[in-house]
Amino acid sequence: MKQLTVDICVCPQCVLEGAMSIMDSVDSLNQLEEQLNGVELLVQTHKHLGEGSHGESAPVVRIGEEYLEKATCENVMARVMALVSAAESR
Amino acid sequence: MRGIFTPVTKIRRQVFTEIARMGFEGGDYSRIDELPYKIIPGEVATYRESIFKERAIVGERLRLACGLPMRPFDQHAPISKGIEQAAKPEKYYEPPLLDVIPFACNACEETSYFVTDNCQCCLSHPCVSICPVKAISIQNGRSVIDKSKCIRCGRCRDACPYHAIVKNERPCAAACGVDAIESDYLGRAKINHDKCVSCGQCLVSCPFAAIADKSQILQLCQALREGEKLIAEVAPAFVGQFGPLATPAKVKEALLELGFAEVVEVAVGADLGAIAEAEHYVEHVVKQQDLPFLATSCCPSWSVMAKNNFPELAGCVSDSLTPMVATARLIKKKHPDGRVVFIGPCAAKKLEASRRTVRSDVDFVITFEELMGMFVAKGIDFEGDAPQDDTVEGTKSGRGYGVAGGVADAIVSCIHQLYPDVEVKVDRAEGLKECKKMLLLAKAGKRNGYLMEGMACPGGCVGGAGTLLQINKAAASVKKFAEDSPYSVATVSPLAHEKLEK
Repeated sequence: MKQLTVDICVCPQCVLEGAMSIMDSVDSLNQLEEQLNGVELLVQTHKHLGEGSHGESAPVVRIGEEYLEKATCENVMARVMALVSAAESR
Repeated sequence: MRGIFTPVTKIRRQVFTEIARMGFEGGDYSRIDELPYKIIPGEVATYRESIFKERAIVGERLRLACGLPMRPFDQHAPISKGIEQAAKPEKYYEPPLLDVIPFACNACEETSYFVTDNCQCCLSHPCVSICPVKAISIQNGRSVIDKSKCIRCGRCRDACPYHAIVKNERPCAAACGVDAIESDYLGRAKINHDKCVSCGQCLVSCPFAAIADKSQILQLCQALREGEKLIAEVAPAFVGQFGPLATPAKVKEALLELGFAEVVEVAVGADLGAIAEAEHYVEHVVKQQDLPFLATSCCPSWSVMAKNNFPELAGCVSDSLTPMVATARLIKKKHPDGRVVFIGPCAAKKLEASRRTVRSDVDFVITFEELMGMFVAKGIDFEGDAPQDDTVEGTKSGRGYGVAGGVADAIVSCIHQLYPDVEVKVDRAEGLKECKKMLLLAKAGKRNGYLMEGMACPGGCVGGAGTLLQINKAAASVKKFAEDSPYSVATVSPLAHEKLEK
């Protein structure tokens, strides 16, 4: 895996619930060059991810094909690092 | 903690959204009593030792968000007590603006030093040798500080080769630039309102969500719902605050969708203020020399701090209208039947708008965070196409007010345009502690001839307590928007031309 895309919804509900902080957190992982082992993290913003309004499920993040609702900075970073490690061990 | 989304941020924004929703829906406001159960659902505590305590704290936050005072804690009162008096489409709140919710406070220890597990009980123990009051001894294989003797000089921390000695500071007190945080009889933080300048830095620094300011969201939503003619004046720091989709034009469109009749950039008033302060500086500091220096005044926390702590220098703080007030007066001239809503990054502007001389100019003040809660409550998104915008825009100088250094740059640009032979010396400071140091230099006569810019918040207005975006990203967004202005300096803006021709 040379690149991992993290899609972040930036609708108003998700922004209010911390989407921009999640963006910054994932961006900051690019500084961990040794731990990422050559994997480039790409953050993409979307005006809407998934179905329906986000309400209770905000913020919504998609890592690869996997959706995370009520995403937090720590959950998203942990999932990204887990995927990077899994790719490395294959 | 700034720039990191934490449970504290989440709770604060949920409160704003629910109060906005209630204000837009109208009806029986006693339903505010149910909101803590919506914000803190379930049976198991998430943040504190008891879910009941979590809801009680949220209850006080809901009251403050309605402009209501906290309830007395030794008497029974529902959250909705007094809400009918508050639910009017006009500004409602009594000081204090900012306060500590006592039972939310962790009663963090005031500044102290303590030894961590990293202590190796080394042979040299320089911590013992360096202490001026013999407060440190070695006991049971560990360095121990006697707090009854410790004078908190920090020399032990600096001397330790393992960095095992740390300074413990109460976050709210560390953030306060005017030493307004004291302790009550239970050791909980207490704000000394005689010293407090409402900058809001303690509010964003408290990791226990124990400090909150009063809001006018409910009253503003009510005014919008009732179709009042409200004109929004948006501070220059607004750019980028509402997410990547919310371009400046789309923010304006969203405000119109909320129900505002018109949207005006406060940068327009900033341009006029820059010209006024440029003329003031040249007239009094350069020509007449009846002022040793000139300090800017657009930041209310900085100007109040300067006047309170250095009363002998009060005359050197510019008395020009702040951008908020200058823009409000322009709006009221054009719309005598309209009411002005200032939308900005900070809590202190709420206090400025309550001043006797300003009260009739600015009717409501809300922060960007509070506005975002209103957008979400009303279901407004930023997806549509922004319409053509032909309103008067601020100049690059005026738009730059939102970032530290921008005010001084704007004034200097005006001086260079209007008085090309005048040389200007500039000093500036961000954060009230640094501002105080700058004024001490001025008091000692080391800033004669200077133009001094003071900003209470780190990074300038983009670091205000009511912002959503990380400071350095916000600064970059504001600078880019400033570059997009068709006008470079304040002296070339259309409104400025009218003023200069007079």
